[in-house]
Amino acid sequence: MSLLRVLRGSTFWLLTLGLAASLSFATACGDDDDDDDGDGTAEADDDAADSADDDDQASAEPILIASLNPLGSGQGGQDFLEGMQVAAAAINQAGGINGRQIEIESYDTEGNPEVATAVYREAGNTDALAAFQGATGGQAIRAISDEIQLPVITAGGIDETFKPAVDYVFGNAPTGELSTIALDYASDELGATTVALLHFDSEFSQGIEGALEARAQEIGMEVVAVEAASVADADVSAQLTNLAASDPDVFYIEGLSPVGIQGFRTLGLDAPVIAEQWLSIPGLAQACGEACEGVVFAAHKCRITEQLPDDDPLKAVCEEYASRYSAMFPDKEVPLFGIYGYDAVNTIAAAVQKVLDSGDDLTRESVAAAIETFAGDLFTTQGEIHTSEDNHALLGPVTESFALVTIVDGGAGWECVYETCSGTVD
Amino acid sequence: MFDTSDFSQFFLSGLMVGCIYALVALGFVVVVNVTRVYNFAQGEYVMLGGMIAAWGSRSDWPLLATVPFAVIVVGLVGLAQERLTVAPIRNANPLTLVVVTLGVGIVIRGAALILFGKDLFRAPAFTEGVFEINGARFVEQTAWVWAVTALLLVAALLFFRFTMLGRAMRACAVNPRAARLMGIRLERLSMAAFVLSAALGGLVGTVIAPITFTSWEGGIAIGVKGFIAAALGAFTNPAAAVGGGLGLGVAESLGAGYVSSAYRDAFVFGILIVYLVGREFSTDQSLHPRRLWQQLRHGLARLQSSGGEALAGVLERAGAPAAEGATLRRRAPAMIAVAAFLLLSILIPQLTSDVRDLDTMISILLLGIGATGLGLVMGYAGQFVLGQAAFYLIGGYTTGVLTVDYGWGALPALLVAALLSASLAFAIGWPTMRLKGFNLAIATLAMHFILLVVVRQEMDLTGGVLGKTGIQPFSAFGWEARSQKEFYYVAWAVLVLSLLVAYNISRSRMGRALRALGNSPEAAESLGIDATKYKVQIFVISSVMASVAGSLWAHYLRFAGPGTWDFSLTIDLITYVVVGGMTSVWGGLIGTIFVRVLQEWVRDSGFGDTLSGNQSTYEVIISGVLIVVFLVAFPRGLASLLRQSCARISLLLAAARPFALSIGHRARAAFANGKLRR
Repeated sequence: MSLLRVLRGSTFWLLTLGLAASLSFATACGDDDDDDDGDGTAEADDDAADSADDDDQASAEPILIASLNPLGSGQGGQDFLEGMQVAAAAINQAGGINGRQIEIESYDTEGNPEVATAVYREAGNTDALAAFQGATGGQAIRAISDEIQLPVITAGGIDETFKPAVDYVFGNAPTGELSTIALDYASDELGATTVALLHFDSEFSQGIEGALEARAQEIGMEVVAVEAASVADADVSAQLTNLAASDPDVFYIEGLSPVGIQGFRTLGLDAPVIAEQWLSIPGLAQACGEACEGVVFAAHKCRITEQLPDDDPLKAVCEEYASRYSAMFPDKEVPLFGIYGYDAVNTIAAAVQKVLDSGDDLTRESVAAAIETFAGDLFTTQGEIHTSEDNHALLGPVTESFALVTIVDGGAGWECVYETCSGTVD
Repeated sequence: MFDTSDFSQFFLSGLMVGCIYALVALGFVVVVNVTRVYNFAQGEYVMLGGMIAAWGSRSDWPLLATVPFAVIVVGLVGLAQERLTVAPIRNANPLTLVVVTLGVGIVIRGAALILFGKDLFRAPAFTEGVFEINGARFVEQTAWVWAVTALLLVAALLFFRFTMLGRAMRACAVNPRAARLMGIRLERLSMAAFVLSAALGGLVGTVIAPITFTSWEGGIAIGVKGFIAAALGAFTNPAAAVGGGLGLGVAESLGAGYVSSAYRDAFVFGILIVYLVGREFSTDQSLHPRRLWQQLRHGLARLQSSGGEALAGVLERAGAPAAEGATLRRRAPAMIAVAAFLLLSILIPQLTSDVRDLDTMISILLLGIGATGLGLVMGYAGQFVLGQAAFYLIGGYTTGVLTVDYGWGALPALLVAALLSASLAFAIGWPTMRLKGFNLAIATLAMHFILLVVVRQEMDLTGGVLGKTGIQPFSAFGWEARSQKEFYYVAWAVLVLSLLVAYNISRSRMGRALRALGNSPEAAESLGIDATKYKVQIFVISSVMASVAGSLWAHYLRFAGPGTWDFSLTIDLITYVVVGGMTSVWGGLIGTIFVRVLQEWVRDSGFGDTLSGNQSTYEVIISGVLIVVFLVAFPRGLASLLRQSCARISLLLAAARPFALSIGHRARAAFANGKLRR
C-alpha cells in the first residue's frame, strides 16, 4: 500500500527523473568517441603525432615534459623539480633536441596518491610527451597508466612500481638492491651470519624486509628478528630490546628516523650497525649526529663526489650535475634527490633524439618504445643503462652508482669506507 | 621466561612516551576547562617549542635562554590564537571551534615549514648521559621528561584547587553564566587559559625534542594522542588526563615489546575500544548481560525495519498531499536553488572537458556523499565522529579485494562493503552512543587506526603500504564507466540518492526525534524517545554512505591505498560539514563544494608563484586562513547563510506582491477606462 501511495507522489518521480537523466547522460557519454572521453588521451596522442608530422611547426614547438612532484611536503619534490629544470636548461643551452627546446610543466602531487593520479590525468590531457614522478604516488599512477598512456619515469623508490614492467612506466631509483648493499658488506667484511632488522613505515621501508630476506638467503645469512616502528614514534627501545634478544651479528636499523640509532646507542648495544641510504640526507645526518658515526650505509656517489677517484665514470656526471645546479640556483645547496629529476629529463631527451633520428613520428608511444631500447648508450647518475621491453629499470649495477659510507664529524659529512668509492666491490 | 630487565625497559620507556601524551593532554584540559574549546592546535604548540629550541641551539643560544624564549613565543602564539579566532566566536558550536583550531594548526604547521625548513631537528639535551634502572637504560633527558610531567601535574592540581585564577577557571567550566554573574571575567580567563596551555606546549616541546627529534609535521601525531588521553580523562580532570596519557604510552610500549611491533597500534587501540565499551557497561545498567541479548535482538530488528526507513521516508513523502500555496511560495527560492543545482550539476560534464576540473568535481561528489552522512551524525545526532574515513577505507578495500582477488562484480562488492561498514558502525555505535562526550569520537578514531594498521601490514591481501592495484572501472549490468564523464554520473546519482535519504531522515520521525533531543534531551527522553536507537541508526546510515563513496572511489582511482583514506580525510570531512553548516542536510555538500573550490581557486590563483620553492605551502596556509576567517565571520556555516538569503528573497517577494498586485489592478483599471491600449 505504502508503495502505491509513494508512486503517486511527485518526489518519487523527481527522483526517478534525476536518476534516469544521469543514466541517460552516462549512456550517451559512453557512445562518445575515444577522443572525447574526457581523458583526452587519444586527443593528446593525435596532437603529438600531428605536430610531429608538420616539420616546420614541429621544429618550433617545445618538447613538453611534465613534472609530477610533491612541492609543499618534506618529500623532496622541489629537489626533483629543480633537477629536471637543470637538465632541461643544459639541453636547451646546447641548442635543444634538433632545435626544439625542452619545457617543464610542473604539477603538485601534494605527496598524495590520489592527487598524483589526478595530475597524471591532467598531464595526460596536455601535449606532454612524457613525465617524471618522484616520491609518493607511483603505484597509483601505475594503476591507471594503461588508460592515460603517458610515459612516466618514477623515482618513488619502490621496485613494484616498474617491476614487472608495464607499458609506459619506468623507474630510475633503486630500492631492493640498494637496501642490501650494506648486507653484503656485513657478510664479506665483518663475517656476519645473522642480522636483525628495525624498519619504519614508509613505502620504501616496507620493501626492506623482503629485499633483506631474499639477499640474506642468497649470501648465506639469516634474518633472525624483524621489528617495525613508526616515524612518529618517540621511542623504539622496546623493539630494539627484542632485536637484541635475538643476538644478531649485525643490526640493520633504517635511518629514516634517528630515534632508532639513537635508541640503539642508549641501550649500550655494541654490535655493528648497517643501514640503507636515508642518512645521506644532510638534515637526517645532522639530527642523528654522533650517534650515527660508525653506521655503514649506502650513499649515492654524487653525495661524496670529491672522494671519488678520477677514473670513476660517475665522478664527471656528478660534477656536471653539481656545477649546473649551482649555476642555476647559486644560493642553494646541491640536493641529492635532484639527480633523479636530472636523469629523467636526460633519459627522455635521449629517447626523443632516438625517435627523431629514426624518422618516426614523435608520439608518446614512440618515446616509450625508445626508452625500452637503451643498450649502454645512455649514462646517467645511475650508471650505464640497459633496458628492454621486459626491463623498465633505468638503472645500472647499483654498486656502480652507490658507495658504502659512514657519518663523520658529528653528522657534518660522509666518508667513503671499504674502498667502494674506487669501484672495487661487486 | 619472564625477564624483569626487559619489562623495566618496556614499562619505563612507555612511561616516558606516556608523559609526552600526558603533558599534551594537560594542555587540552586547561583550555577545555575554561573555554570548552577542544584545541587541536595543541600538538603544534609542542612542535613549535621543539623547533624554537633546536633553532636556538643551532644559533648557539644557551639553553637557559632558549627554553624561556620558546615558552614565551609559543605563549604569544596561543594568545594570538585566542584573540583572533576564539574570542570573536566564543558562543559558536563547539565543533565550529574545533574546525577553527584545525585551521590554526594548518597555519602554524605551514609557518614552521617556511621558517625552519623541512629538515628533522634535534634540540640539545638539558643534561647528557645515560642512567640505568633494573637493567633498563635511558638517556638522562628521560628523567627530565618524567620530572617535568610530575611537576606540571602537581602544579596544575594546586593551581586549579588553591588559586583564585584556577578556581575561577573551574567555575567557568561548570557554569559559565553563573561564573560571569559572580563577577568572573570570562574573556580574561580564556586568554589566560590559551596562553597557559600554549606555554605549556612550548615547554613540553623543548623538553622532549632532545629525545624525539622534531620537524614541522611532528605536531599532528602528538596532538591526536594527547587528545585521546585528555578524552579518557573527560577533559576536565588533569590527573585523569595524565593517567590516560601514561596508560596509552605504557600500553604502546608493552604492545610493541610483548605482542607485535607491527600490530602495536592495533593492539593499543583495540584495548582502548574495549575500555570504552567496558566503561559504558559498568555505568549503564541497561547493558547488564541478561538484557544484552534481548537488546541486541531488538536493536537488529529495529535497524532492519528502519534500514529502509529513510527510503520509506522518501516514499512516504512522495505520497504526501501537495503543499499549500503559501508553503510553496515560502520554499520557492530554496526549491529553485536545489533545482538549479541539480540541473547545473548534470550539465557540468557537458560544459567542460578539462580533466582537472572533472577530477575536482568527481572528488566533490565522492566527498559530498560522506560529508552528507557525517552531517547527519554531527548535526542531527549531535555526535562527534573521528572515524568517518574508516568507512571509506572499508568500502575501498573491500571492493578492491573482492573484485581483484575473488572476481566479484562491482555492485555485489559495493553492497558487501556497505553491509560490513553498517555492521561495524552498529558494533561501535551501539555501546558507545549511550553516554555523552567523546566516546564515539575516540572509538571510531581507534577503529580507523586499527584498520590502517591491518591494511598496511596484510601485504598479500591489501598490498600493504603500496596499496591495492588492479581494480577495474565501475561496472554494472554490463555497462562500464570507463571515462571521467561516465563515472561522474555514477557518483552524481549516488550523491543525489544520499541527499534524498538525508532529506527524508530530517523530515522523518527519526529526524524529529533527534531534533527534539538536540533541543532538550531530558524533555525528549521523558516523552519516550529512545536517543540511543536513533543515534545508532543514523550513524549506521552515515557509515553506509561513506562506504559506498569509498567503493566508488576505488573504482575511479583503480587503486586502494592507506594514504587516500587516512585521518586527514576525516578532518577534511568535518571541515566540510562545519563550513557548510550542521543544521542542514545540504551542509555537507555545500561545505565540500565551497572548500574544494576555494582550494582549487587558491591553487590556480598563482598566489604562491612569486614565493619560489614554497608555493603549495603558501597555498595550504592561505586556504587554512580563509577557512578560519570564514568561520569566524559565519560560525553557523554556509547553509545558514544561504537559508537567510532565501528567507530575505522570500520576504522581498512577499513584500513586492501587494505592490505588483496593485500595479496589476491599476493597469486593469486603466484598460477598463480606456487610458491604455494593448
